[in-house]
Amino acid sequence: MIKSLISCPSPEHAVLEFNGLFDRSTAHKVRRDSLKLVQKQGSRELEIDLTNARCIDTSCVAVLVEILNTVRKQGGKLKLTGIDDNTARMISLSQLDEIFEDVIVAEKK
Amino acid sequence: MPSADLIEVRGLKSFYRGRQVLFDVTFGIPSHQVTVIMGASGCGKTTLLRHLIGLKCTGQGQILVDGEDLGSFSEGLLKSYRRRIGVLFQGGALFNSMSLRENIAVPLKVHTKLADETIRIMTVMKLNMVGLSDFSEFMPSQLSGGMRKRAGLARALAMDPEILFVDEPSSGLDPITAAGLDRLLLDLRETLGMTVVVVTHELESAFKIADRIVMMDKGRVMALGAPDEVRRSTDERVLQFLNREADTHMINIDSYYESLLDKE
Amino acid sequence: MVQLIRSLGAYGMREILSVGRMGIFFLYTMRGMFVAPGKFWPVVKHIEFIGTKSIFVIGFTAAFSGMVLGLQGYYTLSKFASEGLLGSAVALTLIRELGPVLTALMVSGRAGSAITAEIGIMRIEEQIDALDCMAIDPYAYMITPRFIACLIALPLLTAFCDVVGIFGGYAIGVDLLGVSAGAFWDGVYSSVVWKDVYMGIIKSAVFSVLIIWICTYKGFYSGVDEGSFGPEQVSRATTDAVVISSISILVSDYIITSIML
Repeated sequence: MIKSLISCPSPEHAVLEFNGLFDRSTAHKVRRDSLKLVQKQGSRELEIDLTNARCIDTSCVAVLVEILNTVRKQGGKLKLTGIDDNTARMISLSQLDEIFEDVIVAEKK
Repeated sequence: MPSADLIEVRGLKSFYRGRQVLFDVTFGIPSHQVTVIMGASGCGKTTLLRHLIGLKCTGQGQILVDGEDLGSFSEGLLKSYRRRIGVLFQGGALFNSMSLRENIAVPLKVHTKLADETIRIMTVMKLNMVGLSDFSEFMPSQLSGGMRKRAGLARALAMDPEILFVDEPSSGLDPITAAGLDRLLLDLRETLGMTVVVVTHELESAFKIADRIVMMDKGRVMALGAPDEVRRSTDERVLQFLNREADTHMINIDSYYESLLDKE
Repeated sequence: MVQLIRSLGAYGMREILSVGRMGIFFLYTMRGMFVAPGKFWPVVKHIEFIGTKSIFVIGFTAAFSGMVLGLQGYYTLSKFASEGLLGSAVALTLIRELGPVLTALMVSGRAGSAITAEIGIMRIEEQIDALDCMAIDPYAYMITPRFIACLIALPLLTAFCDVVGIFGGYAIGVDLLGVSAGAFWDGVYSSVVWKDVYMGIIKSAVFSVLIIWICTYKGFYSGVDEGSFGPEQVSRATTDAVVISSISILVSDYIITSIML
C-alpha cells in the first residue's frame, strides 16, 4: 500500500509526499498521482518526497523516469528528495545517474 | 531448526529413462549470495537446475524452499514460488514471434498492472543492463546466440526476481561480454540483494563470482564450500577438474569392452 | 514370443497414456479460458493467421471443386434429361459435404501444420518451460487463443467455401454448358433447407475442434515421449498432426452424417 500527500505551496509548485511501499503493485498509483499534477494541474515545479517510501524494485525507477520525461516535456522541473541508498543504487545499476544527477536533492527538507 | 539457507537440497536422487542421474545430492543455497553449481558437461547440473525451478518432479529426496518441500507444493504454491524466481535457459528461450522488447514485456504485462509506457521504460532499462538497448526492436532470429542469451537474462530480470537461476551464462560469449555479465550478476546481488544460482562449467568466472561453490561429478556433489575451500581441496577429481586435466582413466573397462562385443 | 507380448503391452500402455494425456490437455485448455492473460488480441491475431490467410487457398479450392461438380453433375444429370436439377445437386453437395470437409482439410494442411511446428519449436527451445517459470499458464497463453480462433474461423471459412463453390458450379453449368440461370437458382433455393446449413455448421465446428486439438497437442508434446528435443521431433509431430487430423476429419464426417441424416 502506498499513500500520497499533496501540498501546493504555490500554484506553480507542487509537493508530493509518498508514504509506504513503492513497488510494481503500487507504481501505477504513484504514476497516476504525479502525472495528474503535471498534466491536469499544470504544475511547473514538482517535488517528490520519498523519505517515507521504500522502493524495492526497478518499476519505481521506471516510473520516476516517466515522470521526469513528462515534466521536462512541459518545460518544468522535477525535484526528488529523500532517496534512500537502495534506490540510488538501482538508479546507478540502470545507468541513469547522469539523467537524475540534477534531479536528486540530497538533503531532506 | 531454521537454517540460513534459502533453498536446501536434501538427498536428491533423480532418474532419467531408468538411468540414475543424481545420487544423494545435498547442499544449501544461501540467500543474498551467489552459488555456483559447477561440473563437467553431463554431470547432472542442468537436471539439478530443472529440479530447483520445479520443472522436474522430485522423486526421492527433498528440495526445501523456506523450509517447505517443493515437491509437495500445490499448483498455486508452485506459481507463487515461480513468481519469486527468474530463469535464464541455456538457449535463452526467447519467443520467436516477438521482438526483444515484447519478449521482456511478457511477464510484466501478465503479472502487473503497470502502464504501457512504464513497461516500455522498464524493458529498455533491462536491455540496457545486459548491453542490448540498441536492439530492442530486433527479432530473436536476427541476433547471435550470445545476444539471445543476454536478452534471455534481461527477461529473467524483468520481474526483479528474488532468486535468479542462470544456466551457462557465458557460453558463446566473448571474454569481454562474459566479464560484463559476471559483473552484472554481482551488481544484482549487491543492489537488489538477489540470490543468484549459476550453473556453469567455466572455472574462471565461477571462482570470480561465487560465494559458494557446489562442484559436481557424475551426479554426485564432489566438493562444496567457499571458493577458497574448494581450491584448497585435496580430492583427486577436484584437482583434476581445477587443473583442467583430461580424463585419463576409463570409466568402466568391463562395460566398455562388453559394448564392443556383438550382442545377440 | 514374450518379447512380442511385452512390446504389444508397452505399445498399448503408451497409447492409453496418450489418450488420457490428450483429455487432460483439453481440460487445461478449457480452463485456460478463465485464466489470465487476456485473450482478445491473441485471438484476433490467430484468426488472421488461421482464417484470413487461408481465404485465397480455400477460394481457389472451392472454385475448382464447384466447377468440377458443375461439369460432372451436368454430365450425369443429362443422362436423365434433368439438367435443371444441377443447382440443387451442386449446392447440396457443397453445403452438406464438400464445403466443411474441404475447408477442414485445407486448414489442417495449411494452418494446422504451421501451428504444430510453431508450438513444437517452442517446446524444443524450452520456451514452454520458460512460460512455466514465469508463472504464466502455457495453456492459457498459447493454446486457448488458438482454440477460440479456430472455432470462429473455420465455420466462416466453410461458409465462404460454399458460396464460392456454388458460383463455380454456376459458371460451368450456366455460362458454359447452357443450363438456364433461373433453373439453377431455383434448384438451389428449393432444395437447400435450414437443416442442411446447420449440419454444415456443426460439422465444421467439430472439425475445427479436432484440427486444433490434435495439432496443438502434437506440437505441445513433440519430443516428450522420446525424451529428446530436436528438429526431427518437430517434423515428425507436424506430419503426425496433419495425417491424424485429416483422417479424423473424414471419419468424424461419416459419423456425424450417419447420425444426422
